[in-house]
Amino acid sequence: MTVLEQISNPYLASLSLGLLYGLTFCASACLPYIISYIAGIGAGFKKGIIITSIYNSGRIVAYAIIGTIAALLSTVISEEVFGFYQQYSSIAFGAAIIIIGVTILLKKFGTGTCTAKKSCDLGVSKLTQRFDIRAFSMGFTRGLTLCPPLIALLLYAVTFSQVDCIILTVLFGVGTALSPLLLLGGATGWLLNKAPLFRTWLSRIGGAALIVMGLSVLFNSLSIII
Amino acid sequence: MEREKGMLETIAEILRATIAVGLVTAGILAILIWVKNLTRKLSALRLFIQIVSVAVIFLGLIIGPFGVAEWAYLGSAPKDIAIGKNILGRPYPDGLSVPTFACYYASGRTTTCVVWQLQSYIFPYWETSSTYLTTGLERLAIAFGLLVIMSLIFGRFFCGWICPFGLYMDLLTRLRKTLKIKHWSLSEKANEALRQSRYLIIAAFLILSVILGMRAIAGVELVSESELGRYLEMPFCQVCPAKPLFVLVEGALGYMNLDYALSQTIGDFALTGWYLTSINIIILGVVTVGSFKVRRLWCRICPLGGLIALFSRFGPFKRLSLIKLTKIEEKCTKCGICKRVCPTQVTEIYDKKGGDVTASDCILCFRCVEMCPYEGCLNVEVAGKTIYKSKNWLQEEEE
Repeated sequence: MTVLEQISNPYLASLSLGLLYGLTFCASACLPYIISYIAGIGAGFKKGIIITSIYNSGRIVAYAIIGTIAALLSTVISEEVFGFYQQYSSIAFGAAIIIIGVTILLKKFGTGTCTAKKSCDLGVSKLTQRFDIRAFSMGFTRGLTLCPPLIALLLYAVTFSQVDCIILTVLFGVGTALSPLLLLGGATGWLLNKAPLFRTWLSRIGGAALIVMGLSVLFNSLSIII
Repeated sequence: MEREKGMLETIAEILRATIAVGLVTAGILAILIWVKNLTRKLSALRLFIQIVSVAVIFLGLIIGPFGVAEWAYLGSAPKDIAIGKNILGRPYPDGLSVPTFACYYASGRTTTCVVWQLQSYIFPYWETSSTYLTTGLERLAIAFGLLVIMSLIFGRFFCGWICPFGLYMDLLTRLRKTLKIKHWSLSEKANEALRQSRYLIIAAFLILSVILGMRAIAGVELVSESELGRYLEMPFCQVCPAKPLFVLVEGALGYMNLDYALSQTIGDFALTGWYLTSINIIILGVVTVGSFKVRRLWCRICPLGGLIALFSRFGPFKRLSLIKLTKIEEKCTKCGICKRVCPTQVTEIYDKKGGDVTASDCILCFRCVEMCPYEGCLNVEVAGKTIYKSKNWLQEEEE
């Protein structure tokens, strides 16, 4: 927690912590999921950046909810509680990415980038096409999975007022969102779009990778619980 | 020590002078070819420049400071003093970034392949979070900036005229021609698939090096108690065919200690090593056999060529590109010579109806311009000025 200790202003400290981890650990942890999803739906540069932004917004919303809960339950918050909670939130995240992977493979839902008209029209509203609900839910469930820096931040944030606790977690989320992940998402979409001959295979690989990663997360969490 | 330092300075001066002489000679030849329009001797000029470039790229190995170099990194080698040091006031011992296969692993290099630098500098395993934010990002910015600038100025001219691995493939083609063996042409679909696959290779190495490098910085060991992460951080280099070629050539010439290079493999993961990997060598073998029959085979999938193409032929960069190949449609008779002589089987020059016909997979070797028999049909333009054009060599032969 050197960043939190070094910077006296708590708002700035939370944002800086988010930026630091967004630059390193968060980007590395989120990149495999976001890249697989971008490959799965065949997004280009702009769409890649939009998807990554939506994914990040999902994480920020999740952080805000966690911050609110932590602020309300500040008296019972401890590392043990977070550890217990983390096992179950990982199950939700694992299940979410498995479902997203399956939908990509089955092409059940469109995202505005789907090429086959039939799949785009399959009961998908305009709102769903504009706002990628899958990217959001992936980011949201990922955000609910507490990472070590977020746990440290929450333990730090609960020492402040309830409103401040929420603001601090949101600022942390904004910091992590301003990471190279945005650019990497766009760049990957741009590069993959330059290989249209491989699009079908990339989509399948992206979907399958999400399922495999989801199963891995799921089994890891279940093995800890059981 | 003082004597050694003085000697190094002298050697560095010699190196600088040699590089200057090489560049001046290449410049004079380029002017001569422009003024005298020595159209049909362009291939010979290209070969000459390729050989000069290889010598410049690996000049440091020819004159090593302490005889045979034991390992690649030599912070006080003449090449470091001559070129790769003190950019922006900081030591830059890995060599100047160039978009060619100027391999990092070869000892005594004056320049380094930008693919190695991008992979390595994105998130170097040796950096801590604090040093990464200062020197690490600065190094990355220099490497990436040089890639973009050089791509805009020269485009894939690097591939056709400077890349050492390109020279290797051209020599294989010359050998095949000497043996009077016909080349194979790939089908358009297969060629297109190869061309597109390079972008997937770029995406793969970028993602892998980011994930592995970032985790290393965050202090997470992916493979505990082994050095595998160190190798995987440069994933493309572990499959690149140029790496073992340069190391083996240097070893054979006596400028690199092969015993040491071969000893740098790790335990159970015998496939992976610092200088030579079995995967590298197998790929080099396949590419060598393939390039003997298919002209410039590797250039069609080369991720480095793909990177240059990205920053010279696509999106906003295309307009800024300095070297262009143009065609005057009225003078074209659709004879198809340009398509047949192209070493990478580019069809855009034949298909497009005039104007800028430079394609992303065109290596700017200008073989098409050299062989086009219609006066001024194909032109090489630098910053909008025609410096070289096709000539009616059929008529000249008849005369």
